[in-house]
Amino acid sequence: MLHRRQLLLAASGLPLPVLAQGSEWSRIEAAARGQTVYFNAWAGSERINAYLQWAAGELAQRHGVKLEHVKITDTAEAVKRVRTEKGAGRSSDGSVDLLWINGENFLAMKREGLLYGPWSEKLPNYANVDTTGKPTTRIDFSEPVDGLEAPWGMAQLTFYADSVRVPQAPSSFFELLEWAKRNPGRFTYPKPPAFHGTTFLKQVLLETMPDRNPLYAPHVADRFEAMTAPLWSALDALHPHLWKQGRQFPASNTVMRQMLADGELAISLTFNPNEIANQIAAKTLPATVVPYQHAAGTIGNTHFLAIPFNARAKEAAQLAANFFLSPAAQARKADIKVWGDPTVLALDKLSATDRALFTAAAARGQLAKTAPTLPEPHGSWVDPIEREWARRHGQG
Amino acid sequence: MLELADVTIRVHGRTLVDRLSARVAPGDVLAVTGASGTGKSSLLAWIAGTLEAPFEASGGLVLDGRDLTSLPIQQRHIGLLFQDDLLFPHMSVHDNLLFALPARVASDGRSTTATRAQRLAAADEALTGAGLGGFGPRLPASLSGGQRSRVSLLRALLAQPQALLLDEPFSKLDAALRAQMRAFTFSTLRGRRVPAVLVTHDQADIPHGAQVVSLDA
Amino acid sequence: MGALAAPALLFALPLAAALPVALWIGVDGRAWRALVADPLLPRALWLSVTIAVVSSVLATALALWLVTHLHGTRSWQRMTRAVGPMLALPHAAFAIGLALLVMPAGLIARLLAVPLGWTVPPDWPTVNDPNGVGLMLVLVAKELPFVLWNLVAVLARPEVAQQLRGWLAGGRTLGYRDSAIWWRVLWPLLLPRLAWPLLAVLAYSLTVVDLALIIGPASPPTLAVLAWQGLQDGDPLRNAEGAAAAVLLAFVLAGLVALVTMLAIAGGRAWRRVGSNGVRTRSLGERSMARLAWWLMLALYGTVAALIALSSLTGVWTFPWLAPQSWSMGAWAQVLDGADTLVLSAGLGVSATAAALALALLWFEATPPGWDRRVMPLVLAPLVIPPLLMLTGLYRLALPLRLDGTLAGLAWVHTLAALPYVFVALAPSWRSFDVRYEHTALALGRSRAAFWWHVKAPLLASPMAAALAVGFAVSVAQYLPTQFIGAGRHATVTTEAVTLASGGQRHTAAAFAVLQALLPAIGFGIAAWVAQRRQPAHPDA
Repeated sequence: MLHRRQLLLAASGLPLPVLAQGSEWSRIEAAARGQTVYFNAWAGSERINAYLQWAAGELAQRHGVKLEHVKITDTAEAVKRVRTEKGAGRSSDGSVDLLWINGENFLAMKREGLLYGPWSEKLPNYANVDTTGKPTTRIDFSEPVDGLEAPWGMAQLTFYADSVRVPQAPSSFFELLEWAKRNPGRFTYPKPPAFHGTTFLKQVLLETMPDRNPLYAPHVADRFEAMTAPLWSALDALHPHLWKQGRQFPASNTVMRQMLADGELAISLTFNPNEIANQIAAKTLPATVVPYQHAAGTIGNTHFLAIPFNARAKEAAQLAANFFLSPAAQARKADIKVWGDPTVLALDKLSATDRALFTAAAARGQLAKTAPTLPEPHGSWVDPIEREWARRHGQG
Repeated sequence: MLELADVTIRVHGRTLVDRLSARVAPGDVLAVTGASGTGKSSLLAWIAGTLEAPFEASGGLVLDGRDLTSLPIQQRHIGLLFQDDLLFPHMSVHDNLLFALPARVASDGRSTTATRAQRLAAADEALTGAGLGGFGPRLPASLSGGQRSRVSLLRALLAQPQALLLDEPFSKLDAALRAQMRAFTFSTLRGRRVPAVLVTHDQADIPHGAQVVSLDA
Repeated sequence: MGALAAPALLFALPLAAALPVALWIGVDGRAWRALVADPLLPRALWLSVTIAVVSSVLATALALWLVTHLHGTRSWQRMTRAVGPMLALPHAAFAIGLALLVMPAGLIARLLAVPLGWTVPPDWPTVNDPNGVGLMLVLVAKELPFVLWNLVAVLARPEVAQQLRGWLAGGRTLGYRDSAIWWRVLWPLLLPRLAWPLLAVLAYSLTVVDLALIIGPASPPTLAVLAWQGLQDGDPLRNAEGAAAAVLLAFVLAGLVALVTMLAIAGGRAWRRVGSNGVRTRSLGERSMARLAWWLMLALYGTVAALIALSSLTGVWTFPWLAPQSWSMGAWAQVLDGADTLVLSAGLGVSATAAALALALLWFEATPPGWDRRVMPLVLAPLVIPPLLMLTGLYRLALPLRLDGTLAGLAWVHTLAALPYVFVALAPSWRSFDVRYEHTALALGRSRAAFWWHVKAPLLASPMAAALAVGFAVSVAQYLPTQFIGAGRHATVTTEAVTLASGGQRHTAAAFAVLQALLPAIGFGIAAWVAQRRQPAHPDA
């Protein structure tokens, strides 16, 4: 009898939070109508820009929300802007409503109290996120998300090479070094702090460090030299064989992709495993380009959407984030013909019709063999690594 | 009747015209002569109202009983003719003449707005009277120098000026044309009873019976 | 004078105030200490000075050499006519196209690859190279037509043309070749008249930002780009550092001008001594070399224009193929997606040039005669004062008015940018308009308005149309004002082209470059059509 009463109580208790959440969400939806969301997002790729334009159309049509894509070259710019606004006492009417973010930038904003929330786990579409199969959706660079940002897409460091020039792709950093010695000037990496460049440094560090555990704990200054020594000696060995002998570095991975298409580079890198198929379909990369990952694993993470504490259009921002988590938006984003950014959703949590949206047709340039995902080091390591790199190699 | 009283014109401390007084009756001509730079054109400019710094001027100017000294150019009813015909090159002869013709005509003692047809008729009448019948639709560039000078005079007269100023108007014409234009101009002015001030350095330009003032020191 | 109150308030005063405001912001102790401590500063400074001096000197020397050998020949007419269209090709579009020509995987390298057997692009330091060679190439190629245009204008003046003939004849009778007369006699006499245009050339090459972003050194960048990066940063200290760098740039410019003037005076004396040494030299066939050089220049412009058009339509085009392996409309599809940048560019251009024209007309008609000359330096100042400095000041003025990020603010700043050019384009026709037309019309009893509407405006329609076209072209090509006052929120055709080009999205950048070149071309085409329709003016007696 106690059982039944407990069950009844539990059964009557369950809908209440759901109902409360439902009415809260309708309030947000109503308040969001007519608002403009200034979405600060990296604009380095035509695919992303085009996808965001589609999303803007959908949001305007379905919810009356205007999405403005503010194109930035580095997330750190937007972070600085929010920080400056906080310093100037601007606690409402901020210039950034929604921010594409992860890693050390998220860490900085979380620590300095620059984020609004928690909000992300209350989004209706959050229920479909694959939190078990993709743990990085809840832990960002070893830092708990705590509902302060909503997962948007998955990423994993992937190399790609023109198979005409590189018949046998190197499957580890050491093989890459050997290949570079035999083929000088055909590889390079974007200049840190561009995040693809920084990621390459982290990858090399992970591959060359005997014991990786300290990297998953917050950075410790007095052990930094010793910990990162393998990285710097590896780079010293690599640089003379890089493009322009390592005296000059391209500004971004988009520039590198163009150089590979021209034939100036033979190997390049990206964070989106599906990007190569996407670019081959768009005829910006030759069909002979093949993506690959280092056999022992490459760094992977989730990228997120966050809302600054002083955002003007918080409701519309949440609505937009919810839209970006919807199966339709995630499926379109994952479509190789559009962007190819892998989804954060768990396909088995979706209905059959929604799951059908994700069927991928085989495309030229898809990753043949996936490698394990190495988790990102703790976000506090990023700044020191970038600064040390700038000190050693940043001039000229 | 055009009256000048104690007109003095100075520039940069130099006196060009010193207390000049004159009266020009309707149909009469006042000829102002002198070498270049003696201020003949400045005097005309002052009468017309176009004299500007650094020139300084003083004196009285009365036309048909009206004191003109403080009036702007467009209210003085004084016509201007230069050595260049200055017909507006982008407008036809008709349009040039219509530009000058007032919009209102007086008939039966009352003033009414004339129609374009009426104004064209008046312009054609003036052209025919000057031996330029049918030249209306033509552009100034297609006319000869003498024809353009005649049109220019007609245009000035169609505005019904109460006085006319002529600044070496014949100096660009060749000798034969000059004689013709002189005769045509002064007979027309006499006929219309318009007082005129003529500036010239060519004695032959001065008609019989004109008052002559020399600005040579 | 009342009619001038509004324009003075909206334009003259802010322009005059911008400089002091910028100096006030930039003169901040902490900012200067941070700037001096920046390890990138010495090299950035060195780069800026060398690039500016080398490109200005080269462009001027080449222009003088071309005029010396081609003046009076059959090619002269063709040359003077070609300079206009060359000037009309915007700088950013030209830089994008030139990069396509000289980069390691560019057209020249591909042409050499076949005979030399290259399979990979050579390691050429031509684009984004640490020494700024690419930037120097673009600057020389773009400043040459500008200097030529000014030279042609000076030489076309009747009093100069007459004296020219006299001196050439005299020198010939003394046994000197034409080119010797030019170098020994004519240029020392004529160069002082070119002081302002040459100053503008030096100022531009020292302070240019958009070209440096596309093709200039990446790290460290030129001082102008360094200042720009600082000014864009949200961090107040970095921001002040950027303003300090802009002030430093202005001082460097002033120093260079002083240096050049002193060198010119000292050099002038030495030149005259050499010039009167009595040596008669023989011809080295330089005329044909000059003609060849001019054809090469034309070919360069043609190739660059063709390359940007081509690049906007190609897909994959690997080295060393001379023809693209695939074609793609992707770039243009992107452009159409972002059609509002085109609309904004065109809209801003039209409103800016119309407003600038209205202001210029108001100025010409309402100013007392003496003021005209006195105010000219103020109007021309924006052409020589570093734009970074002006914009820092203007931005600070715009903030309290809440104009930053608004379309009104953008229109305002574009009008300011177009104003000097519209002024300069109109001034000659206005000044040479026979004042007696006005006197005649007024003496006929008509009002000033009637005179203006029926006589003056129709007669000056051609110069006004040309001035409108120039103002439109200037507005379309603006980069810094849009970025500054627009607070990064508004994208025009030019800002997109520069951002995409420096970000490696070559094909889309090329498509925007094509648009950037087409818009002014349309404007000039309309102006030419208007000029043809007007009946020829009455020849002055």
